[in-house]
Amino acid sequence: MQNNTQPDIYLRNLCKRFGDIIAVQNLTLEVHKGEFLTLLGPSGSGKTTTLRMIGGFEKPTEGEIYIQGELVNDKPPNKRSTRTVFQDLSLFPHMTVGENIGYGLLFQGLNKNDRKNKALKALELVGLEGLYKRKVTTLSGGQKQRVALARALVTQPPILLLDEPLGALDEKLRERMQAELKNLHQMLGISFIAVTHNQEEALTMSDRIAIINKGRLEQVATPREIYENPKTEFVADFIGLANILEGEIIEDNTGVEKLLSNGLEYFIPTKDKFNKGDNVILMVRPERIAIGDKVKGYKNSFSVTVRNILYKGVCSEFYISFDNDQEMRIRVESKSFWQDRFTGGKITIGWDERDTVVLKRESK
Amino acid sequence: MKTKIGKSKGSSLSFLTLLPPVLFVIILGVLPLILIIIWSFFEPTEYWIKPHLTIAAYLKFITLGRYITFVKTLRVSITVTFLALIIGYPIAYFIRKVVREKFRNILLFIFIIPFFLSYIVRVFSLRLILGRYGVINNVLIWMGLISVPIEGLLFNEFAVHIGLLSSYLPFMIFPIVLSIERVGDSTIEASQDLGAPFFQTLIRVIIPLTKPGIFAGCIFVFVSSLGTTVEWDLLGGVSEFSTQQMLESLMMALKFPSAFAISTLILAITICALLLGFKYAKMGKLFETLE
Repeated sequence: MQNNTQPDIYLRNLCKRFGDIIAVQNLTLEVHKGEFLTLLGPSGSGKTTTLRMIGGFEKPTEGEIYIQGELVNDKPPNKRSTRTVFQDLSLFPHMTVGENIGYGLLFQGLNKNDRKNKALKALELVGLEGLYKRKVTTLSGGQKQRVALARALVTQPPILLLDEPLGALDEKLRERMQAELKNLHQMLGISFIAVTHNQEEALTMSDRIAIINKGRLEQVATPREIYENPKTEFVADFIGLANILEGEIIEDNTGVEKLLSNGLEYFIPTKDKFNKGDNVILMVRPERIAIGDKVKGYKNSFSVTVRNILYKGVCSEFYISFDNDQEMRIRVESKSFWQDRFTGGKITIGWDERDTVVLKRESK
Repeated sequence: MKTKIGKSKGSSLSFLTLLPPVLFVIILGVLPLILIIIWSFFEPTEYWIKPHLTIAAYLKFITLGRYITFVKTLRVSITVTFLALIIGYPIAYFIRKVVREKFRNILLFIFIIPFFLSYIVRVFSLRLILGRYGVINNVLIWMGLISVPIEGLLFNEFAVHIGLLSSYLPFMIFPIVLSIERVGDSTIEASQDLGAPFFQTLIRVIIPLTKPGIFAGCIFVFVSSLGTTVEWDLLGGVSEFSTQQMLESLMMALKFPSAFAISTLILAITICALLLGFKYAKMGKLFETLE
């Protein structure tokens, strides 16, 4: 957000190896003050390891971790100002809700009364008034989640780390907690760093998303940037659905850049600077492709064969193939009067060339 | 409908199948204990007992000073249990939380190996360590720290303590390892994360959560120490005499009610300890499946 102030967290060339396995590789990342940053990646990508290094539970093999300007590589977790909400929540099963929440305050030297008052306030913050005396083992999943949050937040940490915070919750509850977490973040104004493999969760909650793949940082940007302007093939493919074709840049006689792929020509946005002959990939999202009458006016317009239609309620997915056998997936709003009669038939599809992303081939 | 039939059939069937083991437990397990308790209140005859209620055996326990040996055995057992806990807990923690998995099994195995040996041989081997010409004395002499062998290492109460500890320490370690296993790494990490140094985590989180294992270990070591003779026989020498040895000589002298009275007291103490364990340390949790 404010780029000139000191970042809350600065990771510099961070590496972590477990024996021969490289978990995190040369990762450099800044987390701005008050930001909600999500580390997103497939399982085994090193995102949790990165979070654990920030929390102090793993030692970096190489590189440095700065928390609010201070080098913390050698500091144990209890000496760091970060607080963590663990994936399995890790509430203390032998304590009541109140004792769990007050636990962190014990080590801040607060007396019994202050601890209780603060814990009660924290309970209120997460909407669990009246559960102070309950045993944590009797709580529901969602309540446990909130207790874990309250326990971490009650000590007023400047930075909150969340490891798959909503992983254990069912779909409905997860959606509600996403909104609540985001609210909480805005209300408290502290930095949240979350780890998730759920991209919808990341897109919904984050100010910025850091995409991690095989221990490397692929891209850090706002959710919109990540979705609309992926910078690598991995990001394009990993986030949302994507149709990806490989091709070569050509130019027509009017000077407009085009892409030739397997005998078909596609218009691409001219803002991307490529040279003629560059090997590139083209990405277009299924929901940005129109069919039928709506194609009018699009430079990219093709007649294709419908292979299959998947009805998904709100939308329908068309699996189509071009004349050169190139396949694509299209997502359009379902219409009540549609039948499967499209299957096997010809339709016209098209898209605005500004909705395409063109990237240099990574193998080059 | 289907489940209903299955259920009713199952319950009558399960009653029949349960009958043999239940009878087995009652006849071979519970009945002897009850007889011992009853017979301890009978009167001795020259070779046997007659069913005439009396508390003579218990009075003799006091008047003939048998309680002194009894109390001493209790004291030694409690001391050994305490020492085993102090030594065993860190070992168990180390095995379960510090050592890598591959190495962990080797360590656990090391503590099992002695049980493959005859317990007499195992206990006797301590003489080779503690004795006048044992390993300790030889090493100390070789190092030049002493010139004459130390005599006080063997054939006294100290040697009995060492013997009991070496025999029953594994009984302390195994249940604690089991209970530490139930404390998730992230529970310990959560405590650290909230600002607790290790010692605070230990006393506020790890020890409370491992109470079932601690108590089970204590009971095992205590009861085993109370019920053994071999460590006293081989390491205690002539001066040390335990309750079990006293029991054996009473039995050989055919003083059955007296022997049964002492056994009843041991039984009472053991049962009290177990009840306390289940009530306050939730020892039953040790046998529940992990979440």
